[in-house]
Amino acid sequence: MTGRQLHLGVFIYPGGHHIAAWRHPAMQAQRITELGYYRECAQIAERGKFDMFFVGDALNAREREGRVMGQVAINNLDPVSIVSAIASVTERIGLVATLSTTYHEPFSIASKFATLDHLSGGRAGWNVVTTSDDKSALNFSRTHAMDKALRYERAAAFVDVVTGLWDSWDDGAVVGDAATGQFLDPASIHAVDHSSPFFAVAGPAMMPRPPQGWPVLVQAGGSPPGRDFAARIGEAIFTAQGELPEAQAFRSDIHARMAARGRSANSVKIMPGLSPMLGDTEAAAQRRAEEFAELVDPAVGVWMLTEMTKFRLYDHPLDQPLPTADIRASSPALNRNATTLVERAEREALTLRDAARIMVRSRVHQSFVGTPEQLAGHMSHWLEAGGCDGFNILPPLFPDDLATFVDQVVPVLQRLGVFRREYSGSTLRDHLGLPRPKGRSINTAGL
Amino acid sequence: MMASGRSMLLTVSGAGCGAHPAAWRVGGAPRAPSLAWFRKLTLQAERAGLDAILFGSSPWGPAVAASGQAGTFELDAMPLIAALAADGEQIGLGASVPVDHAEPFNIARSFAGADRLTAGRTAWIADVREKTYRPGDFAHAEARDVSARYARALECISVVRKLWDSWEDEAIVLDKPAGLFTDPARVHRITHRGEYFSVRGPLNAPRPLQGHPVIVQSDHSREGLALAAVTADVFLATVTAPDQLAGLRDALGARPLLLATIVPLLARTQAEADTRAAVLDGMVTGPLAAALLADAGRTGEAPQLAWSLGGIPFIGTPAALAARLADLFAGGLCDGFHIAPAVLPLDLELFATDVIPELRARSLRPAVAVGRTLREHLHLPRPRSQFAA
Repeated sequence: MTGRQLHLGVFIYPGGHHIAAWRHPAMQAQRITELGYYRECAQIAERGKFDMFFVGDALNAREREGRVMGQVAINNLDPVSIVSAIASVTERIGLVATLSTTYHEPFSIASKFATLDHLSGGRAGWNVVTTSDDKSALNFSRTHAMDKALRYERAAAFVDVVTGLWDSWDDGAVVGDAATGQFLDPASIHAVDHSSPFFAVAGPAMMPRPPQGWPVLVQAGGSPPGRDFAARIGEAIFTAQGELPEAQAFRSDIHARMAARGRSANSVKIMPGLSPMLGDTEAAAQRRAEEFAELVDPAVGVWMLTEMTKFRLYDHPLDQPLPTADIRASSPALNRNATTLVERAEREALTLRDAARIMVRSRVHQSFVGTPEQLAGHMSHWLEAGGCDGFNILPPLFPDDLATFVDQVVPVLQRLGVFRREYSGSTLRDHLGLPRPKGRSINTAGL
Repeated sequence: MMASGRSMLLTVSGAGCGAHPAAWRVGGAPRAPSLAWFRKLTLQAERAGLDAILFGSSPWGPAVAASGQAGTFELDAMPLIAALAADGEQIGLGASVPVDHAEPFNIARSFAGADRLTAGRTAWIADVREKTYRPGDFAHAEARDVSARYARALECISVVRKLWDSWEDEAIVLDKPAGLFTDPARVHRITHRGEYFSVRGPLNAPRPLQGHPVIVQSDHSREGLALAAVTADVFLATVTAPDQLAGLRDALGARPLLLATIVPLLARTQAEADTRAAVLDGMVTGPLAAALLADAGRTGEAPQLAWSLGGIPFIGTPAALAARLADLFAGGLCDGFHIAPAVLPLDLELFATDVIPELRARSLRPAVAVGRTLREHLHLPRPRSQFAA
């Protein structure tokens, strides 16, 4: 009997998750807008039997005080375009793209992910997010971000519409009888007729039910309304957890919220972010970390902190403590990532320079510096201690650090018996061990 | 350059199972959406040196769709063309993305990404026609009358172009020693404040490789033609007779390239082609025939109607089609043709293998593709950023 198994995602990023990755001598930075970069990274991850290839999104340019921030790389290109392009050059790995429920239409998102699920043979996942920043609002004919509670209400209605559209064709609605001329069975296709304060959508969808029934719903909310939303709809949860006890508490909390909704703990996979800085020895890993640290001006980290906390830190002395009280006072509703960082700064008495160093390395995600064996031990310990169901891997530099992980960490995880040696299924749901949702109609065949 | 100095532009439709509503019964199209199917069509078009394969919306009306007899799915064409990025190196890839209810930032971002990943091969089929979407799926959105819908579309396309221009071509400098990825002086807020949109920008993606992806339209309404006259790079004409092209050209003015849609059904002999057509005609009966007539608001011969929805039908041999296209092209009424094969993949295959060589022999098509980007194939200039100094 095998024990619990790790699930692994790779979070693609332009250059790498270290903010200065693009400056690293090994990085051919011009590649990050080209197909070849994404193809190479996805194929390495698939060689490593990863569950999924994960792409984030942003809806505003990286700016500092009104001008584009020239010292950092661009955001990812459009996530749906990236994962769609990857679909044709990979065979097994899941393809997860982020799109916001705040600034899209449910009909359009349902169509995008259903299309991706069909074209990829059941490998699609949607990272369901809301957009909280005012800068993005300004690109969508609004002056301010939507209120948080409203944003989550809209997100919940949004997901209802999307899943309703996915279910609007029963499995088996395509008859395709060339002899009689009946292509579809109209009785197997149903209107959605969703009506809520946010949306009125008639449906049905314009294509068959996705191979997975529903593409996998990924969620990343950390605040209480975010956790409730994750507990309601999330099937994989991407989260930032620095320490095992808090990760255990987070996982228990999600499970409790799910139980309150009648969902079993097995129907979600919780995957904290993890940035691996590896070396053959601890000293070598440390040297690699230093090599990266030298590529970045502290001002870049200060900019990242200012962006995340919405508190202007540019004039604050680098070697003074991070002004956590002022940051807390300036914003009554710090977002989850900012709260995580501020709490850590208070706990560890971080200076602004310390906090900036943390940010440039892996933002609020845990950064592991050590050998492949140590990292594999760390990961399996978290799994066995109930801190997670897997990890979303954030390599400091693409593709090199992903290849190192695949070639040196994955074999150890396999030897430890906590990670697959081969894919056993073909869909993302198969990889994650998630059931295929039943349809909503009595006409629907299947599970 | 061609001997004549001008080459016939050729795009092909990859939509549905073919332009004829019964195509699925004879063509071997899959019963579920399949990437392999689309890759096959795209590679055929690439090998034939066609300028682009376009994934537009199907020509069927709501009654045909509801009948369940026409054999089409409507995939989202945007992920579809991105999924084809790794196939082919020169073929242009066009996706229909309706303008109604779309946010310009999302459209600009999608195409900026896809245009990079395809190395400059994308086209946006920017449709305003109601049949490209169903209003009931957006019933929560503000209702607009016709003139407001087109005014919004005009503004939307203009905002999309501004966003594409917000990063100048030279904005990404990649200066590792200086630690400068982007030159901030070459990235601009667009600060658009219009009647329908307020968009600050800049986009968070570098300028598309083509500057602007090619914009395609096909809306024959009075408002649609007026919109195309000022926003389209290419207009796909779906007329049923060539003499209607002159009126379209007048309405569109000089800007858009005008491609006449042809619906070919091909065979080695005229008799074989006629037999193939008769088989399809025989399938336009019962509920399918009733639905076609209902959508058209007509009575009479449904089989004939089935041929004329998509454009100018042509039933005959490849040599005869080449001669017909050459004649129409010589008449100067259009810049080329949009081929909507009656049955996929067969009529695309025959067009590629048998019609293209005839056109090359007449020096109407280049032996090898001239450019790399779709704009280059179409001889469209690459627009300069409106924000460049």
